[in-house]
Amino acid sequence: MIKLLNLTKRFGGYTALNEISAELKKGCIYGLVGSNGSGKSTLMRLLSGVYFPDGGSISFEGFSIFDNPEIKSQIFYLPDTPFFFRGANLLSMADFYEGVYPTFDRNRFIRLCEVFPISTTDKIDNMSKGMQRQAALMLALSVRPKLLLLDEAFDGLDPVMRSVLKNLLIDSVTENEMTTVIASHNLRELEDLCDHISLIHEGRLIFSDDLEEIKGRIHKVQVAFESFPTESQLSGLDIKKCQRTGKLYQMVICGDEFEIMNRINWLNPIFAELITPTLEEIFIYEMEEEGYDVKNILG
Amino acid sequence: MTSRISSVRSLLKFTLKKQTPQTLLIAAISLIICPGMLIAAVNDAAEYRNDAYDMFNYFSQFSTIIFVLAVLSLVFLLVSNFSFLFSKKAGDMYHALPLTRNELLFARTAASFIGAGFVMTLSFAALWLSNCFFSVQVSAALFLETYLLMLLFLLTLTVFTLVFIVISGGIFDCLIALFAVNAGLPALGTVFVHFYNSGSYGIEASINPVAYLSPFGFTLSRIAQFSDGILYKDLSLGTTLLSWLGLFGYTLGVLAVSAVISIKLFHIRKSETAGESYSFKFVPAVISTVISMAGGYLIGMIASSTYTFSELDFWVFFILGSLLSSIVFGVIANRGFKKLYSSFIRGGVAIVLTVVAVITVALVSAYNVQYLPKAENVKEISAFDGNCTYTEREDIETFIKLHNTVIENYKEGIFVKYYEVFDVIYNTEGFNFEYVMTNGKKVERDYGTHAIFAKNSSHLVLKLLCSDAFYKRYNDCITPDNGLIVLTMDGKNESIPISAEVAKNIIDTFKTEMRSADTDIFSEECFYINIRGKGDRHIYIPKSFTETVKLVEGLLPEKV
Repeated sequence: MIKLLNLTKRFGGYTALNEISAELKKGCIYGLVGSNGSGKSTLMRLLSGVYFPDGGSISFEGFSIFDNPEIKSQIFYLPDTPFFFRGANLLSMADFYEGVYPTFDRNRFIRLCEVFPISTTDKIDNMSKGMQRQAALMLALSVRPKLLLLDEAFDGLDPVMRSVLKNLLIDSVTENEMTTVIASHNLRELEDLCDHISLIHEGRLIFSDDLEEIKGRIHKVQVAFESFPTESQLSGLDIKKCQRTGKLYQMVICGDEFEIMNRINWLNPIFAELITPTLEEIFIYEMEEEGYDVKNILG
Repeated sequence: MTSRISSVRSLLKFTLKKQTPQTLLIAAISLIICPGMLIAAVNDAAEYRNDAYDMFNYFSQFSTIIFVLAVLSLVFLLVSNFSFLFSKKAGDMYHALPLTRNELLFARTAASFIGAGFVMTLSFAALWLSNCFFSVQVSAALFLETYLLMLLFLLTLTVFTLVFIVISGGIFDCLIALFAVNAGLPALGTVFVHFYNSGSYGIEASINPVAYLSPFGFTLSRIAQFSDGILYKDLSLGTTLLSWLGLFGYTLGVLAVSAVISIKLFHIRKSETAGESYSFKFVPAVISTVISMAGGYLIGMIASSTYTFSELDFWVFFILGSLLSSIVFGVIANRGFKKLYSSFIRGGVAIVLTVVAVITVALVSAYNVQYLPKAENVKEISAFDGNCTYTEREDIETFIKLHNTVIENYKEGIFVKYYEVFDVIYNTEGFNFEYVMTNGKKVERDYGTHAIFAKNSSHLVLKLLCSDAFYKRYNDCITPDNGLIVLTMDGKNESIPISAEVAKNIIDTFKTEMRSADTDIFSEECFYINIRGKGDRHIYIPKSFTETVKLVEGLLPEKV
């Protein structure tokens, strides 16, 4: 559906995105994670046609996005700080979007007004941050885009509203094959929701893969040895990290889980247990690989 | 396609609705001024003037005021409607909308023009209604023509102002750019025109930099003149047509060029430049140069108490002022003291450009001043306020010789004192003439009498005054008007009716005495008469022209 080929974006002398290539399929929910300033929002703006690329290409169903209203009418971008007209209320914003987006669904908007506890006549400027975000989400979902770009979707939402949003997104994906890209630091929420995860760091795409496959690649093992095996005994295991507490070792190992356990058991541990890492742990491990970790930052 | 058109229409409608409060406020202010202030002005005038109810006294002034208000509202609405370019948040939203850049540009520009046009139309309609209550009314034709011209000018200024909005990243920076170009450039133009005139004795540069270097200045001056009913009136058809061509050529040219530039730049404008001072790298360089040149000149003039480029003091302060202006602009544009080095460079560039401009103007001025035509290329010379035409080869050669001598007099500083010259020809401080070349080209010169009547050139003037061509200028005044020719004399109140024969006799006697006079007559006291027939001519008769004086004094009625 969407193809990114060697996509590059520069701001003056600074390269925000450096030759990113990826493909986004229809009807999937993509999570976009990365360190602060890694280029997530820049990528979102390129996908929505706000920026034009300095190198490479970005296409939606074979067509360029920038300055292409036919394509942009199928895309809705909700930035981390949504913009509302001064003095506007939800109804007037809905009227505006209805006039500009051909797919705006008034009935859906009315139904969403019943779901979200937001006044349609109060000025949005006077609402709290969380309520403003809810209002923006209502408008975004009412547009019924084929591609929904959410930058920090869950920021400011209470747990109940987060749950509502997740359900609404899943419904939209199921009903309309809507593709959603969510950029967020809230990895726990993304883990529940996303099919695919892409990790960006310093403008480079570190990986972009199915969530299950990512989790299948990296494993956390808790193991206790009488005496810690030698290096040659541990050869064959791709150990990324190893922490020790007494006789208990916590290791992060890449590879197939069965092969890892076979190898560990061959070393006669006192105790060995395979734990599925969380997305947050995977993120931290991957960032450590890139030199972006607590020890390096604090010095 | 239908949905696309409706998207644009929807944005336009939305923008018009959004700007309604501001438009109504400005319209209310405009109505207070016209017809509010018009009524006040008429009431004031009614106490003291008989022609208080003559609309012609007010039409030009209030048309101009209405136009100024419309332009101010236009700038305000344009800045307001394009404020999304100055905010990253708003810019993200607008640029993500399913509209092309051209559609977005069109919708916002059209809404701004409609708003300003509404203000202008409302006030102009009020002016038209007021006109109906005046005893002397302005014609409907002039009203309509003025309104249509104002609409065209308003559209031109809309698109022209758009360029400055598109190149800017903030409101303040936009206003600086607008001011720098529309005030700075005309100011610099005025300085250089003045410099040209100061060095080019005899030649006056007729260009008006304020009018031509700023579309705002141009449109304002034309509205004022047009609504006065004087623009392009009483000219030959050819000249009038050419003038209209110039008017529409300039206006439509600015409109077309501005449209192309604004569309092109808006299309390539990076949305990430919102909040920066300017969206294109070349813009600060250009604005800085204008500001440095204008600011440097102003500081140089104030600090050195001279406005001429020929004083060393001036240049010292100009250089300092230029650098300072560039640095200040750089601090504002860069939001701090970074890039001081590039501010210095830009200030230096402005200084170099000024030096180049001064040298160029001085050279052009010097070249033009030295210009002397060849006699065989001159068809005729028009002199004495266009009332005399010299076509004889001998006269043309005398003129050219006089012209050459005057140039030398200016160069050498050979002048007579003002009190040493009495105006024999006519009561004026200058001597104006125009060459009409065989190829149709016209070259005009206007010299001070202090150079014309110098000892080495006055004999040539005398020769010209003795030519038959000079006396043809009196033919119309000695032709009766409804059978009447009237003579008035210096110091006498009565007008004396005379016959055509007597009038001709006076002229012939004057001519005879002139042909036997010498250059001493230019320092003689003169006796002034006026003869009015079909034409109206003054004649300054030197007191040594005794026959002419006797003839004229003999016409005085005898005292009883």
